[in-house]
Amino acid sequence: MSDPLVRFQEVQLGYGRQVVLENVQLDIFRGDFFGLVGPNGSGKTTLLRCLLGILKPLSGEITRSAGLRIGYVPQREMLDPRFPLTALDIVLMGRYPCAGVFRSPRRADRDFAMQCLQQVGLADVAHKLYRELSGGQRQRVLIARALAVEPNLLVLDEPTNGLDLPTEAAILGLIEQLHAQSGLTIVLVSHVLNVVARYATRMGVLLDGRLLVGDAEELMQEQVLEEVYGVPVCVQRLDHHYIVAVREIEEACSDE
Amino acid sequence: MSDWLETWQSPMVQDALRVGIVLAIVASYLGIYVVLKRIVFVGAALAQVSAAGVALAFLVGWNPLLSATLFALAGSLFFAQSWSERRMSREAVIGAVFLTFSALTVLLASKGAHGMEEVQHLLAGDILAVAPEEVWRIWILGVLVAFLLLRKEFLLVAFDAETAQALGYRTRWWEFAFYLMLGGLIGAVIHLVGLVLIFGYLVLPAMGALLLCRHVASAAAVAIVNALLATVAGLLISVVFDLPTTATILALMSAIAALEGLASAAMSHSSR
Repeated sequence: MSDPLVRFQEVQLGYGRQVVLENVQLDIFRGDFFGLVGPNGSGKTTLLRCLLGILKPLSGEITRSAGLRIGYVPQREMLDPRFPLTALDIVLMGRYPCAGVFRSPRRADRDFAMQCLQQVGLADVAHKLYRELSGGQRQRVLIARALAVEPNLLVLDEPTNGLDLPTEAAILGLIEQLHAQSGLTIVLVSHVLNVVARYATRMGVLLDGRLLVGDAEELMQEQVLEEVYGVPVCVQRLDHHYIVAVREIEEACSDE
Repeated sequence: MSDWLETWQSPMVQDALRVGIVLAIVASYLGIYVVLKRIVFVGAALAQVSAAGVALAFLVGWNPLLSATLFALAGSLFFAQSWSERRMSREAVIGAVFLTFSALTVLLASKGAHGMEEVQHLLAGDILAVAPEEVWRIWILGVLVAFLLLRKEFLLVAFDAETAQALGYRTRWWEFAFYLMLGGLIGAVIHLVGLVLIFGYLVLPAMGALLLCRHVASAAAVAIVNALLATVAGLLISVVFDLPTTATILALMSAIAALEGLASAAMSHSSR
């Protein structure tokens, strides 16, 4: 197996004296589709920030392969749509590091940003304001901006939050396409278990300050999820999909 | 007719015009970011901190420009810090700083040689009272701030700090740089034009421009035009009709922002 793009070795994460995650061992390999799940407050954001290099580990070692470029797609809700920025303006931000400080992005950067918008199917709204776009279109703009970095690792934080079912499917389809066709390594952070289990080739589940890593079949077990979420659950498979339900609800359904 | 023309051409009004023009350009441009970053009241609080610096300088015989600038820079460093809002909102802290330094300004000024008259001057200011030897300073500041502000990175950090960090930008330093410029500007002009006018320049021209424009660059250009128009027309009207200059400029800036708000509403109504 090739060297990992990112390797966490005995990493301890947290803020000041507060330890959030301990003994994190994680390898992200080229071509991986890694899904990270866990309940609210379990440390997903902390691990994500560390992966992005925003947060330094309290201890342990994080090794990044030479030439690693991360394209990051933040949660849509974190951005203020009142900024008078077009879709193209936002995608162009991904080219800022190439342009350098004091310099405006060049023509070639604008052309590349347009190509990225085209790749996510939004070339026709390039000059529309971000605030005038739908939730799904905004998500695509943010994915296009991450692609403008020319990444070899794409990190997405809750990309399907607040989207209706068809839009969610379309966004996940786009991510899968980027993974399959462009060979991009993906890290998908989500609290929606079945979404991650459906697409990820490997998964990470956060439990009591630890990270459990395995494939979907290993981790989508009732006893594992019951331990993670602290409620009795029922896991069923339908084609490639996992369906997870809290047991009381599942029992009520089976009674009908 | 010739009376007001003579007054308009007097060195006093021409100096005020020079200061007003530079302030209009720099503060209204900076104001675009102040409004977008939702830190309007940080501008007011910094102006109040700076006013306390001037009051202290008058009391103990320091240089008011230096004291105001140091106070404003210290305030900028304080506001540039990121802190958890779990227990106390940022808004409450800004309010507390504003109130604390308002009280300090009054207390310090009450013991000064000019008493409450000095507080009145710090609050309302009078751009016509700018001394000729003080005019050159503001030009240097204007060039410096305008130059430093022409930076796309401020926009990225203001819009999406987390992605900026992921792209390798040291957002904390960019934040520091922004607040230092804001504080530096306020500190340099507070004792010349007063708290209300500088606060007005930071908020009103940008507000109208952001309602009207679809791009940051065009909004910045319109904000500058708004501020310049209000400054020149305000000075002229105040001279012709013998009105208080600061209030006249502010009233014009408010009127322009209101007109732009109406135009924006009409445009969005007609596009539906």
